[in-house]
Amino acid sequence: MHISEGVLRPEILIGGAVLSTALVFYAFKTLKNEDIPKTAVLSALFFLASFIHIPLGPTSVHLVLGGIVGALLGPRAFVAIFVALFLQGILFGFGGLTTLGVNVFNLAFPTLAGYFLFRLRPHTIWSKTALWFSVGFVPLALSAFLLSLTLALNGEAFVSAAKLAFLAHLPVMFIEGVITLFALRFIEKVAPAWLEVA
Amino acid sequence: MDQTSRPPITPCVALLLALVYGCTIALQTHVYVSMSLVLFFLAWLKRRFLLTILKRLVMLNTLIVFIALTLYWQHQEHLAGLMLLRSNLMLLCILLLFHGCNEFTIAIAMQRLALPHKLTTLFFFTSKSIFLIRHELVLFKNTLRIRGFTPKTDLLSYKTLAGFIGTLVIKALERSVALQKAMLLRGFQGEIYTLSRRQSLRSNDAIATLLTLISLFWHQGYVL
Repeated sequence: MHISEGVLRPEILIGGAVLSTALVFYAFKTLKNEDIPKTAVLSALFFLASFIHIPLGPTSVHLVLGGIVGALLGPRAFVAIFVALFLQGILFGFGGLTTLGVNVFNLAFPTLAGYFLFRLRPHTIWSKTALWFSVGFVPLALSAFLLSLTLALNGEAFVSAAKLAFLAHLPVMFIEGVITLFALRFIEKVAPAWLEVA
Repeated sequence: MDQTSRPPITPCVALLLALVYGCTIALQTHVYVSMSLVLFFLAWLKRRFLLTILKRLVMLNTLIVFIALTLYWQHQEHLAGLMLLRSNLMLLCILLLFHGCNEFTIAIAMQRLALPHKLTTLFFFTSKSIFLIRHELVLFKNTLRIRGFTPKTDLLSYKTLAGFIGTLVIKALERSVALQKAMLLRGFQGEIYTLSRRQSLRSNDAIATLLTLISLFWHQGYVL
């Protein structure tokens, strides 16, 4: 999901950095002192999600949890994801510093979809199931689309890689949707107040 | 790394060097041998951990090699080679500079760089939360192992893992409330005070800075 250092053209790096700076700056300015703890713990959760491996046939994939983070934080998710990606880039080399802007935009912007989907009030159990699945599925699908779009904009030679990258994320989208659905159901049973507050 | 030992390059200097080196290399359309000058110095400083760092670099190359292969397949050999070399120079720089550092080291470095207090506070709280959630993650994995649970591609495994994610989210949110109360109790005014002393710059920092500048602006030994 992260684009590595050295892959993208300067125009794309600068464009991504400008977009992300504006969005993170807005989220940061509107972040109140009392919101810092919640933002920090969910940033930590996003950071550690890449260590949670889910089996998929002979291989395994890691979670992103952008939908849950977006649902619980709303626009503040930009700051949380910025901090998490910065630490991942520095400590593990996932992504990096020059691609931080692009990666933050690709991963944080779609979480807004998770936020809006989560705020919809379903009337039936089936619509709730579909909505909560979408809270996980849609942000990751949008992130994969943005990742592919970024690669495709990098030049005609990168279009094949962009298509393959999107296809590679298809199973992950479904797994993220299923895990998000069951996780939200679990929270609803154990501590429903957290979902009402969100 | 031992909590009491100091990294060979002061973390706030390392952050600035990584940023300058990364941003300059990202703009290059040709690669020269001299660009790796600073990396040799950093590799010498981290010589005890070099094998671990190189193994990590190989692992991080998965996506880069995948993209390079698609470029090579389309007869874009120069672009593929340039991307491979550029990526590896930048990644190696980050891995060498920050190997052995943890989240707290970075949070302290952010504070030393005089960034906004709200941002450094967020880095400190995130670091603390990572430390605590990681501990819970290890406990959960051990519990599953002791109970003989092997995750598979089935609904039971996904439900079990989702239950764990749910638990993590609830615990994280409860912890955020406790943290908020602690902030109120301690009269938090938007700034975190650390007990660690201000770290003075050392000769390694000066040498690394000088070599970074030479690496970036003195082009010798054309490669690609």
